[in-house]
Amino acid sequence: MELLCIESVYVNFGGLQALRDVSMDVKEGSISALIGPNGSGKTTLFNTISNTVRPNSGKIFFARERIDHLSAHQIPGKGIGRTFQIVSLFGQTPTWENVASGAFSKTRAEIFPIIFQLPWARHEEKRIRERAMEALRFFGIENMADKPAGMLPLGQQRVVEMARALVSEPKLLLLDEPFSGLNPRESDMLQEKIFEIRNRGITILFVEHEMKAVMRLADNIAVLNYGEKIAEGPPDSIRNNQEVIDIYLGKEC
Amino acid sequence: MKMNGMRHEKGNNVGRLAFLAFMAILILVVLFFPFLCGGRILYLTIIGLVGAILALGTNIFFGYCGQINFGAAGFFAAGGYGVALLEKYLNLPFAINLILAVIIVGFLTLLISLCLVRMRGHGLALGTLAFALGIHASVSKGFVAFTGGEDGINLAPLILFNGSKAGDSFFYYLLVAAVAACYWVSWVLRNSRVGRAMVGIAQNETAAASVGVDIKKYLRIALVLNGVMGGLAGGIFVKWASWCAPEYFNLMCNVIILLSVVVGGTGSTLGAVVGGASMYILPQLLIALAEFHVLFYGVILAIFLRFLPRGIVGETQRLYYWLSLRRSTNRIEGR
Amino acid sequence: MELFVITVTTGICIGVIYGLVGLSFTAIYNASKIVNFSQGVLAMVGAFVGHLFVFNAKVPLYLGVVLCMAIPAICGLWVNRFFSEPLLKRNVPLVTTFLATLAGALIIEGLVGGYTHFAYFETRFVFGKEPVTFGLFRISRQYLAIIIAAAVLCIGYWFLLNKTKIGLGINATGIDPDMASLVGINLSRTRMLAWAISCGITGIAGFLVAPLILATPLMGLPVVVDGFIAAIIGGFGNPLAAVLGGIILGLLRYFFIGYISAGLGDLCVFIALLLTLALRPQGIIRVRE
Repeated sequence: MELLCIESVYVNFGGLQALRDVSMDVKEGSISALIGPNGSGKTTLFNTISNTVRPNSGKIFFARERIDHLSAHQIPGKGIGRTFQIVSLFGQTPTWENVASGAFSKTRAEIFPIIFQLPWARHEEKRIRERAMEALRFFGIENMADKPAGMLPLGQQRVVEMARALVSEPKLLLLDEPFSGLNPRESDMLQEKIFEIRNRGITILFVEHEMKAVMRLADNIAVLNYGEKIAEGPPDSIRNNQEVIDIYLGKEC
Repeated sequence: MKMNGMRHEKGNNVGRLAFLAFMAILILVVLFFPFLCGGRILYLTIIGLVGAILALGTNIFFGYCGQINFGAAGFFAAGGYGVALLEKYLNLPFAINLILAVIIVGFLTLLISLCLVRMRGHGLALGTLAFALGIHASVSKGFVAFTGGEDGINLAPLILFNGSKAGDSFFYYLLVAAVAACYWVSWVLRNSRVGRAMVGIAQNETAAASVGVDIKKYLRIALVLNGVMGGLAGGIFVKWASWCAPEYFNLMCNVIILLSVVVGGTGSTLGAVVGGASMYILPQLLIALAEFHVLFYGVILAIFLRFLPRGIVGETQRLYYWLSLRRSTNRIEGR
Repeated sequence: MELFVITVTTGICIGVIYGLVGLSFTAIYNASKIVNFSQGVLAMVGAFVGHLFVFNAKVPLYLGVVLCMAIPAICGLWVNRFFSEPLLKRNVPLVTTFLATLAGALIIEGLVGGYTHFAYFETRFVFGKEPVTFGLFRISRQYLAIIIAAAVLCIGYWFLLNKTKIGLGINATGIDPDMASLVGINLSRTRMLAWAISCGITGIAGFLVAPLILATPLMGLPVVVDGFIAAIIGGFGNPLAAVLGGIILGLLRYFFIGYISAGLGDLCVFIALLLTLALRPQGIIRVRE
């Protein structure tokens, strides 16, 4: 089943055409990658999916429901979690709280249940904290739980962002350059984690420059250049696509 | 709060016992305070408690959500005038007046928040200041027929159930209850998903939206909480003072409330109480300052912003951790 | 009819003063993305300098005008050096820097207030008392002086910002500090310059308006609010739009005072702000991004 359907999306920023007629489908349960040179519109496409940017025209469907007219804060509730290219954590608050924040879209307690400490609200809060610790344990950083998130090394900060996105139990996880800034050992560990996440039933779409990770992880790769999709297909077909090689891959593969 | 459980086992048990003993003594002191001290000290304590409530309210909007509220005295005034006007025109008992006034202030805050929350940062700050100035001008020069202008409104002394006049002791207990309630609300809110949403808004709005936080909605909620607490403080205060007049809610009042949150520790509930109480009590003690009180506030704000950014509570915590770190390194190094 | 003329002229002239303060705000905001809370207090300093030296004729007028620009500019530089720059370097949220400028404002106000015991400033109509007649219009000299000064300052400021290297540097520092420093602009010094100019403008605004209002050391905070709202109504980011916003605000306020009730001027200002935010949050003149 196509979990995410992007149909003919156009985005321009005051004269700069960031995306032109981009269409793409992401199959449920797959790991898909979005690649392209810098400035080709990859992060803009992510921003369009998560509605921090409105498309000028085109439609986006998630689980057969149209989502491109929603506000940015309504997207996580639909089941889409994302990380950012520039790590966006709450730097002054402890790591566990950052991760616990991820549960916001799937929880309900508002001020009155909280003030009166209604049993269901207390139970919900307990569950949130348990899930946050679980997510930290999944990535092996539970010993950093009390440290302010801003004080962690960059690689761990990225992982915290991912943990935060996972806590909301998304159906689709958008990862924006998750491997950027990681050393080879960290990169291998993250690849294993991504496989594990997929095996739990979460569909993954990620933007990346690091080709080894892309080739190893992705079932399907889409290539953007100057805001247009120029190729799409399994890793082998992309590896051998002359246009892609000319524009982007160079001598790497 | 610590998530990883106890780290220093032995020292922790002694620490816990000491903490419990301290809390027990504190509760006893608070309960029997009016019998231990009277007169001037009780008077000052009452003022400090009012300041604490104002700071607690502002701490939610400023300390949690990171938005400067320059109009906190406006809520204070609204609550005070609400109670005073209700008493003057409707002649209802004080308890009902207070509840009605708080509800009205909450509603009024909700209305203005609908517009103000479209801005952030400086714009929002000055919008709240304009609100406070608007209220101040309205009660002092605008609707003078109703509000008595600069002369204000006199309130009748509160008569209790047993027929006696309510004195400082009654208001002390009432305020302690109010502070406890506001403290509870602030603390419980902070440790919930709503509190996490609010501090998220202060630090990174994009990230907050990406986890599903409707930023405008929670800013509105925070402002209304701020208003309700401010109104509560105002309503109780004017009944205690038996007088409601614009001079209680002037421009400097807004600054002092903000200052008390900074001094106590922005974002810290305990800090709000400490800061609020001290910033209201201190000027009463330093009467010698006379006309230099504005300078005094400016210097205090400057010192805390530049050199003690975590406020009294935060810097004390830091000092404590630094000292305990030194003690443990000394132990490790065998000194 | 008489009331109408008085309301309009007062509204425009006081509005122009709001506009000048708003323009100064915008200048500093454009250079360093901070709103300088001490702006209003610096207007008060301008009035205070006038009170000390000019209104009691201790110094000649031209020297007084220079002092009324220079001394507030120096005070503004102090706020910049002691509060704004150190906090900027520390990477604190901008609102904290805003609070720091408030601290500076309080200290300045506290010093002036303590020294004068918060008494009213003695003022005098330095440009003469008889009104000047233009056909049917009779306008007081002070108002005329305000309008002329404002016109000169606005044109001068526009010229500085758009036609001189210094002005472009100021803009660049605000829009993209990293890029600006790469092309060799000294960020710190450019910001200082922007602050000095803007505080000088505010100082002269304070000096000009002092005889018309009850000038006291406490006039700083209301001036800040009015100036800021003027900038928002006009369109924050565009200095000349602030002047337009100020005139609108002034007319609004004085119509309120003249025709409805003297005390509700502040309330109407607040309502104007709410309406602007509700109906046209980006201000009347949209700012080019």
